[in-house]
Amino acid sequence: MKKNKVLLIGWDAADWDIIWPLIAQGKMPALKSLIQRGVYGNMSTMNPPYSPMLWTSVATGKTPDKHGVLGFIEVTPDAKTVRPVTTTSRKTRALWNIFHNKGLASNLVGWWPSFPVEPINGTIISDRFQKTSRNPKKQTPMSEFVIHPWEKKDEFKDLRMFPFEITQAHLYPFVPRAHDVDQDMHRGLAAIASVVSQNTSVHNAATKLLRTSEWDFMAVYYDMIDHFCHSFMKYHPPKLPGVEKENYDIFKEAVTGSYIFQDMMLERKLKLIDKDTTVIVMSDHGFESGEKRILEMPKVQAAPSLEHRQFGMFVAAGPNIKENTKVFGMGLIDVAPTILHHYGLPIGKDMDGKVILDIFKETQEPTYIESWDKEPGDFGDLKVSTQTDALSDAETMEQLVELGYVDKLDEKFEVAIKKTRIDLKHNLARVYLGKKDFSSSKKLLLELLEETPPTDLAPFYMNLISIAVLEKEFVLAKEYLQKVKDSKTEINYNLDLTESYILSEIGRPKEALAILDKSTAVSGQILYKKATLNFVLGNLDIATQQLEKAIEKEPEKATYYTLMAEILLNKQEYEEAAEYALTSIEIVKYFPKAHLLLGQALENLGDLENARVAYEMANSLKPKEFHKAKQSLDNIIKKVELDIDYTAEVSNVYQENQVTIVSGLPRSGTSLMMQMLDKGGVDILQDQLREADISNPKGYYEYKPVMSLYKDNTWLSKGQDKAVKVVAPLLKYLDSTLRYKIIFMRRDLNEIIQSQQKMIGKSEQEFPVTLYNKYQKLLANVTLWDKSEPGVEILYVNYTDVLENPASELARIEKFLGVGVNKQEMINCVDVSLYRNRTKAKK
Amino acid sequence: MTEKPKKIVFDPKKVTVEGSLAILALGDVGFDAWRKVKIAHNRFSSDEEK
Repeated sequence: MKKNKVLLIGWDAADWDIIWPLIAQGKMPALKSLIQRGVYGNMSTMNPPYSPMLWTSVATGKTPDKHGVLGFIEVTPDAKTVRPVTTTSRKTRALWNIFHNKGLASNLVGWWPSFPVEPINGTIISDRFQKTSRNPKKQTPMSEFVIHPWEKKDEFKDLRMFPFEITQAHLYPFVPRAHDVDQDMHRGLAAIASVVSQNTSVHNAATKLLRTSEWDFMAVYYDMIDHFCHSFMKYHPPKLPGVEKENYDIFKEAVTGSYIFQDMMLERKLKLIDKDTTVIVMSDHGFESGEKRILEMPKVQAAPSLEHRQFGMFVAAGPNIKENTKVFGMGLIDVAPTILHHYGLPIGKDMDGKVILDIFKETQEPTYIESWDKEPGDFGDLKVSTQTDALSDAETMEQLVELGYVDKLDEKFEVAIKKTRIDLKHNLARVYLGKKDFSSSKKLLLELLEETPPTDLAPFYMNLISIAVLEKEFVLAKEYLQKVKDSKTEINYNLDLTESYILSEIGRPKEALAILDKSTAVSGQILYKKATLNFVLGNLDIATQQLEKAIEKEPEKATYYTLMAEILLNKQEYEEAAEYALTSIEIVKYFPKAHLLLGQALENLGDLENARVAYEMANSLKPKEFHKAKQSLDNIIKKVELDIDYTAEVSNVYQENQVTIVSGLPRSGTSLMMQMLDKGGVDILQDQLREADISNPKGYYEYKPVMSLYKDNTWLSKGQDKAVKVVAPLLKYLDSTLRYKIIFMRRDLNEIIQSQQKMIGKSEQEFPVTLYNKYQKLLANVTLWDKSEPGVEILYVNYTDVLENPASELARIEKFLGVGVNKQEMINCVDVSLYRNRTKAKK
Repeated sequence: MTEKPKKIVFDPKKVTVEGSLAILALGDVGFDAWRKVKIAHNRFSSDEEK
């Protein structure tokens, strides 16, 4: 008996949101048993989430731009027509080709696409095997490209189940009131008959091979759950408004029925394998089952895929697989490298995926080769001459049309061919976009804009908007947005959200929020965006309320919990912040920002040990905010090692290459502090362009580039180990990769405003209330900003304290900076006679 | 192709002409047994009609 075998089972569209409740009810015992003795987790999908592309990525470890399967249909090589996608579209070797080369036997059943069959060591029952006519009078003969080796055809031909063989006993578990269905009005029962019979055919072939053949690797693909979900998810509880009650009552158990039947089939397969076999059950994407279910399918390419969810499921169990362990961060492209590694085979460096080492009890370092495609030898590659007629398949095409994945073919084939070419090119552009290869994506999208009517250009413009925003080309993004608005597209895009996003990116959060406030749509995404904008604007309570609603609508979105954690941190509600950060990590483990926020919350709660672990994790993930994680980690290490007083808000430790900033509102004593630092021996970054005047007789100590800090902060490294003056509103534009010690001057707001009014020649009698409120908010925002920037430490210094008690204030400042200063010289700078705008109470 | 001995998981005599998902879940063995029952039933019905 062969050892070290892998049985890979594909359940298209299976989703944890449906599985967990069924497991809890004891209705999926086979999967439960695998989970208990194995690993489980989310499986991240790719865009666009079209199943033939995704399952080919599973089998090759490569993204669709490399493997070549770009959609449900393909243009025939003679360019005369189109047909359901075939193996001929795949331009790289799959797992079974590699195993063939290594003398291992593979069985493949129903894999999408696996027709025409490849001459590998083992058996292939291709994805056309189960596709049969619904008409009992019509024969559905098999071609020689359906089964490999063809000599085995007699063993399998009678294992095909036909839709007309389905009985009431087969239907009732899915639709207990099947007899109430008016089949002229609803095609649900016919759809079930078709899907169940096809999946039974696949299962029959699989069990036959499991019982009777020797194999090393076996892969079986079922599309039952996906098809049931597309047909009946709208009837799945809870009932959505707009769903007809009678149909809801009749079909509400159909989706769960498909999962239960799939589990029954799994149970059978598990009985047919030995203990040494490693079993993987996985899906290629999830399926929306909550509020985001679509009742009216929009008229877009492969519209049903809009119901697909980002995360599918993954379970693996076997001799070298960890037990009852949740694993994180898996993607479809990781499956092939992981399986190769299981067999001790090297991974192609041209594969996009990685080995999921986390699933193994005992691990070894993966080995690599340049590319399996460049290896010489026999790989069982496809040799069949791809005659158009032989590979065309009316039944498969009809089914794709019925499911809505493919439009009914135009009678004029040139129209169908053109549409297919456009769709495949667009799909490739979306794949590049997903890989952040913007230039390749843009090139294709711009070419697509040259297409003539009736081609709808709006989808291409929408992708171009995404790229323009990511490349910070906001003017271009707005131009593209206008093109979509002006177009006659039938697609109902949420352009408010797009416009709001562009506005927020160009620093106009109020306008961005106003657009969303006017919008009638109230999706989780819109609520999240509103919360983000309110957070930016400092409206923390409103942001919290909106996020709560967003989470209620879409409880699986890790980003929502992360934002909530960030807001709660700012509200100094650390325990709750930690909880939200943890929930986010539960959903997506490799989410650097969530780990960073968790660390910050724990640090504020005094749990330095766990905060350090969180920072280490964030740091190891090297995200965009990598420097923040690094700075936080450095801070906490210093805190622990130097036994720094934790109650102090600042470290009082010199930070290498620190930039000393003197900040505050204008007229709060910043120039005095700069002068003191200068006299105290601190190097000053200034240009002396602004001369001393009556308001600041001893000079302003300013540096001109500070004025345009909001558009250029690259010069800040010049301020390392020096002091520079930056007014409070500009602090948020500091380059957060550097370390800052900020001496923030505080002065009575009434005095500040009085002094400013006097300086600009305005009457001191008219008190500017609006300005006062704005300043108050600004000061609050500085505190918030400080808390989110681990590279920033702020020492608040009272202007009056400096004047009245300079010695003790300077001692604080010297300690804060961590460098020695000449305190006496600094004290000599204090000239109390210049304190002219004190409030009446103090005079 | 040689069939490996496996323990019996169901009694073919209990397979009804209506069939069931449980029988289908058994795969080729269950399906084959059900087909045979159906064929026998159809033959019987046909004989009855005659």
